[in-house]
Amino acid sequence: MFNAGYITFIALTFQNALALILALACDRQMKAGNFYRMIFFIPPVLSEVVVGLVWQWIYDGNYGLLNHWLVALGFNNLTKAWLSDPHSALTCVAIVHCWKGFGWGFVILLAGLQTIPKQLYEAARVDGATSWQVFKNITAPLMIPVFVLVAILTVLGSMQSFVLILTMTDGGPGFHTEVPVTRILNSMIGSSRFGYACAQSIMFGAILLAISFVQKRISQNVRQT
Amino acid sequence: MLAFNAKKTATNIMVHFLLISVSITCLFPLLWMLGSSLKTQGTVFSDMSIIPAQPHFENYVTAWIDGGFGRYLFNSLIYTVTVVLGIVLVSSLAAFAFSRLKFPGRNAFFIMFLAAMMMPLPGSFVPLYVLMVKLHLVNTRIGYVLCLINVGLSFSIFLLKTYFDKMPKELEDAARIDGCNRFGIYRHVALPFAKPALAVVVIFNALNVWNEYVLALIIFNSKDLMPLQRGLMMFRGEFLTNYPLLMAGLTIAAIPIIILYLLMQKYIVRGVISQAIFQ
Repeated sequence: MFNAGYITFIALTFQNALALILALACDRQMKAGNFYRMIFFIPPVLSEVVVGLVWQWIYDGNYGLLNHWLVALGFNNLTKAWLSDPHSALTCVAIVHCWKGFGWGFVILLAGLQTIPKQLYEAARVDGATSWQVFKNITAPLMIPVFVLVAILTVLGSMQSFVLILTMTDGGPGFHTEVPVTRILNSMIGSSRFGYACAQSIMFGAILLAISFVQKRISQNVRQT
Repeated sequence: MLAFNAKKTATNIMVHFLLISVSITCLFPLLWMLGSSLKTQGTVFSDMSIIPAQPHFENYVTAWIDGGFGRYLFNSLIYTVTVVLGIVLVSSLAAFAFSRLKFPGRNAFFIMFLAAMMMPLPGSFVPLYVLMVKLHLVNTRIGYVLCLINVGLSFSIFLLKTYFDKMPKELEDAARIDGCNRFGIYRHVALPFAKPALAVVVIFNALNVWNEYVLALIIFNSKDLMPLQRGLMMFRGEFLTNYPLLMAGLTIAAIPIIILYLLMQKYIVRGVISQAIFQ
């Protein structure tokens, strides 16, 4: 549960911040925007198995690309077996999770940005507002429903993500990257304790439902104000 | 004015620099996967260039024949096509009924339908598996297909219902005057009307089925029935350290989806956005 929370936190902050910055950048110029959107959305359409296996090799301690580059740049002492080191494994998985996920948030945020009427920006420019003032007083207030939506979906998606973990570390080293779903799968397939797995699964489902209800309430409140 | 333009250009360059560097980050692992798949076990650890000097295509042959990728790909195709057909058939009929027919408790049924499927998959796959065991559908193609149809239904029904709701009443009346019965209206009026939404349903579900992993993991234990994603994990188990071969397998799995995405980008993006709104 803590591990899933950690991944969710990283995704909620870094992934969405990146998605927002990129969406704001793309909103300026429409022509190139579509091209970038095409590229940014490639990681989200790939299957998690493919992504996990490629990155697993990049992080590999003996043959991985990351270590190769660190050596090439002269940071020999920084090399390590990224995924079998308990200190770095979870962060490494979280980074891949963000890599795969930010394009998705980007698409939704960009769609939201494009619904903001252009006249508002023009009016602000005429009044001499700076870019930051425009963002703070026009973009952000109008985008709050979209922010909330993306936040909800990021939390739900990240709490449930597990295929990357299954392919990259399989919960290890030890239990350092274990998340609820891999635990359920373990008690189900690994030790065939179906009743126990069912109980875990229902508990986890209830937690997810509770999270989404709380967040829905928040977003309704936000919409009303 | 000149200073203003110079500042604008500088901002533009910075923006593009950011966007391009992120693009490279997105594409790089894939290019590396493709490049490595053309190397041999001997050169892959010494040659760290993206494009190998002498490309070797043997890995693809080995993966296709010895690794069983032909079979996995075939299975994935079958599952994707049947699941998508099933979803389109059931969800369009159900959505039409929810939108156009009047029967007691219509809204209650609709809400129950959506609520039952709001339960996220990780919270429900264990009971689902037990159900499959009871029905003797474990390790069968039909069991997997039925599960996946069920997974895709709620979103598809919701999307199609909102679209059918927008269909003008006059169209329906005109068809009825021309002698269409209810099924005729569904078949000749509603379905053509909802074509854009149907396209989203087809593409979006195809993508999901192709990339599906967890149900394939729990339902199949026979290699002959496994779809591609599950096959990849089996494949990794068999050829643990043969990275070029593994990368060839991953490329085979990734290429169809990338092509589908590039062709159908518009519908996929639309599907993502409407799914976000749905939840």
